[in-house]
Amino acid sequence: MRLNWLTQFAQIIVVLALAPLLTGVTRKIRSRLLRRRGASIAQPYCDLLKLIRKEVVVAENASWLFRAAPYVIFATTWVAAALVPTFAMGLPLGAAADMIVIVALLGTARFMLALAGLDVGTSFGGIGSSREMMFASLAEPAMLMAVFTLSLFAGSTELSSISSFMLGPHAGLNISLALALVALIIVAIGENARIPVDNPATHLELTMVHEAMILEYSGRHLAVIEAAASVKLLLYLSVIGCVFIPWGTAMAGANPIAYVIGFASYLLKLLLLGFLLSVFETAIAKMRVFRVPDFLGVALMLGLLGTMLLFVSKVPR
Amino acid sequence: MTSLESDIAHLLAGSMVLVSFLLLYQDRMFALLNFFAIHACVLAFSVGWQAYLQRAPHLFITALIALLFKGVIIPVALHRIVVRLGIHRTIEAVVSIGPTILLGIALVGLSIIVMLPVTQAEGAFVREDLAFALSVVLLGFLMMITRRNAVSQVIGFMSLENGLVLAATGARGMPLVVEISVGFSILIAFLVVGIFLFRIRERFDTVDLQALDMSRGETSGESA
Amino acid sequence: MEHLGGLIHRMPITAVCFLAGCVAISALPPFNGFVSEWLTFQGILLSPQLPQWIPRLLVPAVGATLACSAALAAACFVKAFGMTFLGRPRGAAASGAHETDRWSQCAMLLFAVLCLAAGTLPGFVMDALAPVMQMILGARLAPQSTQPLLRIAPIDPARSAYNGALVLVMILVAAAATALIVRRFASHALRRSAIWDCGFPDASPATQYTPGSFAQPIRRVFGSTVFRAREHVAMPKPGDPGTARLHVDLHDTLWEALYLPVIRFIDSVTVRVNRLQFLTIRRYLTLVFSALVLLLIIVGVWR
Repeated sequence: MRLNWLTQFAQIIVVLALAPLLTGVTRKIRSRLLRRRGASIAQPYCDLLKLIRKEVVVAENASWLFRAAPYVIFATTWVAAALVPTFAMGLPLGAAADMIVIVALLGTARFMLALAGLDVGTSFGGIGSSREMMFASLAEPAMLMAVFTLSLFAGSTELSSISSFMLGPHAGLNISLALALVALIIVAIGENARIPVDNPATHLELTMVHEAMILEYSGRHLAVIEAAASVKLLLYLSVIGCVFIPWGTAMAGANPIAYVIGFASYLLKLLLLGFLLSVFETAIAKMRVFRVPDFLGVALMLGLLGTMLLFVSKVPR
Repeated sequence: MTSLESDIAHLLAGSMVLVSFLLLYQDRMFALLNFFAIHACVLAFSVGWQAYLQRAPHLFITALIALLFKGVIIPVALHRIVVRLGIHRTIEAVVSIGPTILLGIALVGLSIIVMLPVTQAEGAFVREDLAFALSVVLLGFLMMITRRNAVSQVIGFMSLENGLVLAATGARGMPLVVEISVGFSILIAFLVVGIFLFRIRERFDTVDLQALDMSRGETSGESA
Repeated sequence: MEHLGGLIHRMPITAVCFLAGCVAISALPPFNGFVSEWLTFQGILLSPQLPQWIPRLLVPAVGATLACSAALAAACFVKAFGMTFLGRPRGAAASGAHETDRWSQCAMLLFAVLCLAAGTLPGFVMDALAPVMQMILGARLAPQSTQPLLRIAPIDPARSAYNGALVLVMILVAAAATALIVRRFASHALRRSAIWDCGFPDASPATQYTPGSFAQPIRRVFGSTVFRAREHVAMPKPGDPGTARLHVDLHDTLWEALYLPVIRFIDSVTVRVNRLQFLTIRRYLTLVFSALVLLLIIVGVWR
């Protein structure tokens, strides 16, 4: 029991510590694929330190919401990430909140971010917030349909239960699982502002979505928001890893060796998924904004199809 | 059969439904032809796997015919027709994607509702295969009615026939002679359609069927 | 909304209450809207056990529609709060607004607190509603207030459980920890400055996003099929100093197909019946006489 809580606490720290590293690794792989040397993988940590030490410049008409939003965004994203089993299952806090809560917590973060974008009253913030809410109106149902498919398959909405079910003998090659995986991948790309949905490194107004909402932020506020974005990417990759690549994760109440193995396998999974993400980003071009609803609509359609096909196989005899 | 084998069969049949959806979504000619080739290849794998599971060697021939004719020969031939018609650079005006795909999902639901209670007596595996096959047929039909380009309608018709082959193999295989006769009739239909496409193009300078509507004659009593 | 903006500075308490309401309606934790959405989804996940075929397949479609509507509601309330309270004032009324009186503020605050309370202690609300469910459906959920640690588990704790209070505590602890770390290690300097105007000086409040422009992406994606939304732009020729006009054309299909014919029918019937108001005295007597004769005929035939 004590070990479970220790694991949970360690997990909360691990997701925070590893998130900038994941961002650094994906950027490095992308640079290498583009035949550049790229910055070191510890660069995001240095960026965060630099931003924290800078002076904050706030617009004259910014309200308390502008200054409080980064902390709310980071807190909700961090709490959601702490609920995902990374190197061990059976986390005690997971009994309080399941996948639907994780999706909704990310929705809260997005709500506050969109409001922060609208706070100062410029057209950049308006562009970012309106486009972000349009993407969300398709990405959130797609994610929920993927969650439905997984829950119907495993008989529970809690991530630890889904993960241990996938390790068990009943999980096989199922078309609905494949559809849910593809839907989750598309949603992960859309929600984390990756190419082809949004360019995380751009500052041209017509191509910004996430960057447009945080345009007015600087100093420690910007550091908190960038950290939240890294934690969100880690969250999505951890969810895909713990559900679809569950081998290696330590079961609840195992001995410490299993935890070490679980941690090592988690690092491997993150590396693999980060690599695949970078390869995909390099191989494809950014879409026009109004083709993104088609792209996310495909994810929604796949999730819905996966749920319906699962209903087909759960036919009572 | 073991659960892994039936899982793989499900996976292949479900992939056919998925590729039918992706066919609905394409608006460029070459991508459409490539996806149709993939459709035929998935059909070939599915029929081949059925042949292995049911120990029915004549189904291997069906799979080979599907792979050769519909996976290679017909896409290549259509490729050349498309290039000679000069329509390979057009982006087709698909009747808006969102409602079409929603309608497609409704059709999949409909085929599930229809097929599963009707075939209560059969084994579980056959029922699901038939439900998937009916979905592919309905999606092929949907593709034919939502497209304006004649070549896309031909592809919709062919994917419909793929669904029929899937249904036939699922229902404990069909005799080889039926498959050969069906295959030949498709080939003849394809040749006739191909000839017609060229004649239409010669006459009206376009294969857009909506444009052809404007050349319909007036009914008697209206033109005066 | 087109004439408001920046009210968060002039009406702070109202802004907080409105924000609480918006977050609650958008089904976001830790407020009560999310508990309802969570319970509905748990119900939808039970649907494979339904015996009839058509509800069993219809229910995932309903689930997808509910998820889509929750996301669209969030978009709607980002717009509502953002355009009204955030940004810069778009008119004189907005720049001259002032806070309302104490009683109204107390009423709004009370409701906001109730939303939060229902979201963090949902077990008590569910048990309070249980007698109503028993009366209507003849069945009720297991008692929720007895669950440990204030969580709710409508079906089975091993299947799914939600602890609103714990989620709220976790969010507050995380936010406090972040704020503490940032306070300890970050620089405290803060400077107020003009907004980023991309090099165009003197940007008037009219250059902000209006509610119509905020809704434009969603209108274009969903509205063009569902509402047959079309935008018409009338641009003056070069050299013509007249204004450009943007006109948005929306048709509510359900209203026009279902309700309007009924309304038109009722209108035409009432117009005809209205002629009864203007009859002469002889005609009124004829009406009474024929009603009497009709009733006598009915009595006669029925016997």
